[in-house]
This record gives sequence, C-alpha cells and structure tokens, in this order.
Amino acid sequence: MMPMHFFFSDKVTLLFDFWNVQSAPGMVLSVLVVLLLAVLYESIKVGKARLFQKTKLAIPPNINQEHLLEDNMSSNRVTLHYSNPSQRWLWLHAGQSLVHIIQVVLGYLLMLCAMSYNSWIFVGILLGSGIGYYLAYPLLLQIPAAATV
Amino acid sequence: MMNHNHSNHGMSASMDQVSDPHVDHQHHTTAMPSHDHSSKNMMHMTFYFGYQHVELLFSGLTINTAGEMAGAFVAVFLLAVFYEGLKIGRESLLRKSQVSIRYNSMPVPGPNGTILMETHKTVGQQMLSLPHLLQTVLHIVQVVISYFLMLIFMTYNGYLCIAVAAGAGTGYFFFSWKKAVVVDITEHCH
Repeated sequence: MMPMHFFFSDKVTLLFDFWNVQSAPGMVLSVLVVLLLAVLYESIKVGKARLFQKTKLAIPPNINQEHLLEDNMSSNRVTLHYSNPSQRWLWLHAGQSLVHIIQVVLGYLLMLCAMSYNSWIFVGILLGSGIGYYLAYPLLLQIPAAATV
Repeated sequence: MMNHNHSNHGMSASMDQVSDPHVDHQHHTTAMPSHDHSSKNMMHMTFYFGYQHVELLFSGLTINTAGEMAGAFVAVFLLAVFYEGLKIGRESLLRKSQVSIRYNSMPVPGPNGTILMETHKTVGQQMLSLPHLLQTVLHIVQVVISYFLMLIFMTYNGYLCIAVAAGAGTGYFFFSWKKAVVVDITEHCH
C-alpha cells in the first residue's frame, strides 16, 4: 500500500483526502502547488530573519523602519517616536512567533509531501527550495544596508 | 458513565442525550466505527481528527480515549515548547562559551598597527572542554526530540499536529523573548 521507494507516477494522495491526484494535469498542478509551497517556505525563513531585525530595532524604539524603507526617496532620515514603544515590540514579537508557527507547519507539510515518495512531487520540492533560496536570500543580505540608513 | 438505555429511547430521552455531553460524545464515536477500525490496521496517509488507536512513537503508547488524547496533546505541546527552549538555550550557551574563550585570549600587536587576538588553545583542548561536551549532549537531546516531533507529525493526527505547531509557536514566543530583548554585546564580534 504505502510505497517505500521513489517512483514516477501520476497518482498520488497528498496530505488531505481531497488532494487526490489521478491524472497527469492534476499531477502538474500538484507539483506547481508544492513548488510554490517550497518557495514560500524559503521566503518565510528570510522574512522571519528580517522581522527579527525589525524587532531588534524596535527595542530602542524611536525609528520606524517601515517608514524609512517606504519613504526612502522623499525623506531619508525620518524618525518617529512611538507613544507606546513596548507595545509595538510586543506585536512584532508576536508576529514573529506566528511566522515561526507557519514555518514549522510548512516544513512538516513539505516533509510529508516528500514522504509520498512520488518523484515528481519530490522534484517539485527541490526546484521550489532552489528557486526560493535563489530569490529570497539576496533579500536577506539587504538587511544591513537597510538597517544602517 | 452512560445513563441511557435502549428500551425507552423516546423523544424525551433523546432530548436528554443532546444535553448530556457524555452521551453526545459517545454518540460521536459510534457514528464512525468503520473509520476507526480501519485506522487500527492501516497507516494514515492524510490528515484526520480522531483519538482512537493512535499509536504515539512507542508500542505501549496507544491513545484510545479522549482523555488520553488530551494528555498526549499537552505532552506533545510541552515537548515542542521544550524543543524551542533547547534550541535557543544552546545558542546562548554557545555564545557565552565563545565569549569566555575570547577572554582567555590575549591581544597581540599585528602588522601595521592592528591588534590580533591570540588564543592559546589547541583543538584537542577545545574538544575536551566542558562547554563543548555539554553542547554535544544537548545536541543529541535536540536531535532526538526533533525526530520525535517529526514522527509525531507523521502520524497525520490533526490534534497532535496542532499540538506540535502550537508548542513551537509558544516556545518561540517565550524563549526568543530574551534573545530579542537583550542586545548582545557579542553581536558585532562575529
């Protein structure tokens, strides 16, 4: 019943009962979905790191990073003072935890998809991770540049 | 536990059943016996919600009642919280030991006015050092727990998966608190 080795097939059931692929077009769609999930996973990793930087900046909370990034052209050195800075930090931290949950769940979901041993799905995950890393990692390197504005 | 019998299964009795949570709960389990029966023999390949015949890692640990599932939920939740704490704790422990190594090192004047830090520790000494051994033991514990959590997620049981995710989020929220608040003095050094 349950395969224990890799195989190429256009029939697979992924994660949920309703995600039951029986045809080649369905398999193409599933591979695309899995690929996008992997891309999302990689970008969430980078997004979390960016959010972490932002949270750290919110500790001496007189610079609004978002405003700095958005109004980059018009006014480069806008500093905004928050009426309740610790609250902003708490929200950022809570958001970071939420992103962490999404990252953990997505990681497990991808693992479960790979566990189907369907080679097409596996190729989709690998391609997605590669594309996601390729696209998202340069964004991570931009952090110090943005943070020193 | 059950106070309903089949002889007077009248209108009023069924009304009582709805109000009684135990009866309602019993009704729910009997409504899908075939599903639970199949799960006994077959490994689940898609997500499902159920608390009968759920094997949790070890052969002795089989969940059969709602109470056991609640207990397992809490245990898995705490395990996931502990995992997050261990990850972040190891990180800060590593940073601390690196700092102490730096304190052991002495500044040596280098070429063109720069100052080089020289540590008088061989690799063998570093391997035998207590912080490194502690890190190794904690690493083993972390690997074991991470595999356990992965295997728990692999049961495809909805409740247990939610416990893993919620535990990870809660642990991250409370343990990375300190990491985010304390601005590390060592941050710029690496």
